[in-house]
Amino acid sequence: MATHQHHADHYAVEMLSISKRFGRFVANKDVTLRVRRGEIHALLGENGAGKSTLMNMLYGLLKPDSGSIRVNGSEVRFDSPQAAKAAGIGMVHQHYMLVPTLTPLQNIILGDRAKFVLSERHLEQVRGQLKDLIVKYGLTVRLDVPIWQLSVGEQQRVEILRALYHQSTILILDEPTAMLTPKEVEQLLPRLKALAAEGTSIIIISHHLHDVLTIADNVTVLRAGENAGTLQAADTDARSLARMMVGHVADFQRPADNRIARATSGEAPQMRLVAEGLSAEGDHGQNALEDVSFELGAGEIVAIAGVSGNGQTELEEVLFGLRESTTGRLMLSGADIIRTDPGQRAKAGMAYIPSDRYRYGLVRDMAVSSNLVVDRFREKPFAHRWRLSLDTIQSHARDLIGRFAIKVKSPQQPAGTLSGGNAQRVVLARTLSRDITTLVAAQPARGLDVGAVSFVWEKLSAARDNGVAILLISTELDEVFALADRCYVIYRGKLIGHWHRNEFDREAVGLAMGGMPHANQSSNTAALGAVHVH
Amino acid sequence: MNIDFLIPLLSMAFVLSIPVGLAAVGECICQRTGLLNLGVEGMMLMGALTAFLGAFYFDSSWIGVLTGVAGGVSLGILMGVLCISIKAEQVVSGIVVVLLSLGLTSYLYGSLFHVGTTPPRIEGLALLHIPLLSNIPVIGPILFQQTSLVYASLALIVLLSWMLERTSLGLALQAVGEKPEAGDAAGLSVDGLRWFGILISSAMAGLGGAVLIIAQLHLFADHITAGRGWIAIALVIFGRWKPLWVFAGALLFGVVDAIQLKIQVVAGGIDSAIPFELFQALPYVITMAVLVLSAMRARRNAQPSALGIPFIKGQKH
Repeated sequence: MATHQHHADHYAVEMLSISKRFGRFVANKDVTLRVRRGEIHALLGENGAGKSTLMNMLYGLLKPDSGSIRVNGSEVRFDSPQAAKAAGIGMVHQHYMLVPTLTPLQNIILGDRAKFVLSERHLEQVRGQLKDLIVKYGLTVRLDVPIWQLSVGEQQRVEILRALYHQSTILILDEPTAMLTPKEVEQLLPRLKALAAEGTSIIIISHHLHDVLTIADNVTVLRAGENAGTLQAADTDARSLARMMVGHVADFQRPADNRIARATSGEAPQMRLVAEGLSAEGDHGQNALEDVSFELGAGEIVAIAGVSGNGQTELEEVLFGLRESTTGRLMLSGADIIRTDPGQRAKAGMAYIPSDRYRYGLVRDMAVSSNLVVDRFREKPFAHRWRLSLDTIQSHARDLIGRFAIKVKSPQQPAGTLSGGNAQRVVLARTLSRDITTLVAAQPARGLDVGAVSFVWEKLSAARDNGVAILLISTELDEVFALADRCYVIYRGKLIGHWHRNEFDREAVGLAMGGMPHANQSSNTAALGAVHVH
Repeated sequence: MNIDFLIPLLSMAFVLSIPVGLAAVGECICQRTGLLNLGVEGMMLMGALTAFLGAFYFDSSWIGVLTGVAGGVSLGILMGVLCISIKAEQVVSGIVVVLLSLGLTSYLYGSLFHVGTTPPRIEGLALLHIPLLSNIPVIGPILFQQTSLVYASLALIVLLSWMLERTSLGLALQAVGEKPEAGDAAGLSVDGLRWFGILISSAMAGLGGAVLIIAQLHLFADHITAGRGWIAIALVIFGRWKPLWVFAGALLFGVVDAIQLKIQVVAGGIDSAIPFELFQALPYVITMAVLVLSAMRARRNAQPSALGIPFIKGQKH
């Protein structure tokens, strides 16, 4: 920061004493946020702390109940994002607002009414302007390839490029590093620094402490809708920021590693799930999975790490029978199950925690009690012939609600009204209360707050200790390193790395996630192979 | 087979493909905005009746064309109110529109004309020979010796295809059909663009009905469109939501329709041993078979992602 003068005209954004309620829920209470021109300001907080609400008010998507907003010194009242854009504010949403079938160029000119006919000359002119911005800020983007073919990192650069093309001087980035590889994060941060140096003010919503500390000038922490403090990044560290965010620091202690113990004791692990050369197509007919092979033994957690969008969705769907594979075999406890449907796989002892828990995990409009038996309501004791035993379903629900500490008003509450953490507890309760041998868990802790994350991790570890074979598909390295006995990395539909727990190395796995497997990989794989061949 | 037999056949095929082609291209534009208009059959039928009434009472084919379009649009407005304004279920709304039109057209025609053995007829349009082009052997008689209505229809189809691919409006229409929330964020009016889609679709269906009556049949009868509206919807899928491919599908329908008419004549007309309904079913059977085959071969899913889903601002999808 060049100057510490507190003159109003140095501020690009001032949000003063902002409050916002939704019904009885207080999303923001008396929050003040000031961002100077050319400053990178991080907005830190847990899920539900009110970060997005605050930024949605700055971007014109919501209106504050009280308080005032000033942009470049003058008071503003935005009633739409268009008004905010006209004032020079651009927002890059966490879930990109790009049309997948259109190209970056088409997405960027979308909504521009200045030209009706998109002549080649006009397009060439826009392309030229975009290329200038690409060169100036190092935002490499292929302008004429449909969005769905681009990596998540490139899509994000399209969003930033769009904001710059629309001459935004204030940029809001919602969780900009969440979906990126460590390498892509490394590339993004200096680009943002360069933008700020040119005078752009940048507000980053994040819960990645490390990235925030690397890049931000100042950090504002929100906790339960209130401003828990604004600090200079140079004066603080990750631990104290974490404490400000949650009030306490949660630590997950991984239980003792019995898989490694058994492997070294010479006991052969019992193979539960073996994939041999699985390939599958994505929704657009692209090769989403190529020649995926792995082995998963009883009582171990094997993780598939990777940046999202590298075939994880297709993999979980193929494994549980929701998507057809084009080639390959899948053995469950020795029997080939690749041609079976999800119901048959469940009967054979397989269970599934889907990454999209509201789409595949729960029936939103049905009661929690019904959701807890959707996989078994036709079996005894929940049904006798064609008649449901509602009393048994209720008592079963009450039992699981207690054991998994699900917060509900009553078992009749619709599952769609639960918070993310409680919704996932319902999925876990149903999945783990069944007699299973093999579990495919995709993003089991995604979007949950710290307390719910450790609950999920404890339950998965306990299941593993009871002999369940768990395939953990996760984009969070912290989760992989906390839980897994072994880990693979998936990159562009292929498994490209393989580590045993005692070889876990953040840098090597991170590089592989970015498509660069480490040089000494083969020895790891060979060593592991030796463990399996008995 | 000699060429003299083929020329009138293909010329006829071309004419027969226009009504279903117009409806299909309109439907294609509408579906690209994310709105599934299942009411095409009803709109086409209403357009056929109002075109007939316009042409009959005002004694002018061109007024018939205008009233035909207006008849289609009147049901398009109903569909729009149901699906866009009050976010009703699109499939149910479309079927309601078809049923309403089936009953209403039959009732109106019956009460206005009290038809005896010979139904009232209207004048057709004169053929317009395009200078020079119409003299090209083979192609000339097929493509350039048609009524002006056929040329206008063809121009409209090409114009709409160009609009969808080459203008900012077309880009906006595509965007709200694929990812309406992204369109909304870019400042587009999702509802407005879907209104545009349903109005185009209903106008084109009404025009299709008008062409059927004015350029081909010159009379009206109950359910005279005979499922061409449903075929139009199938052609959109066959054409993978690309207007010109959709029209290519309509041409195929026209060729089979012309062939079956020819076979009926050759087989002896009403006196034929084979029931003529069997021949009449041929274009529908072939179109469906081609649709199934093309769907089986398709790799990439071309359907607009938001098709059939009402857009409610600020709600997660």
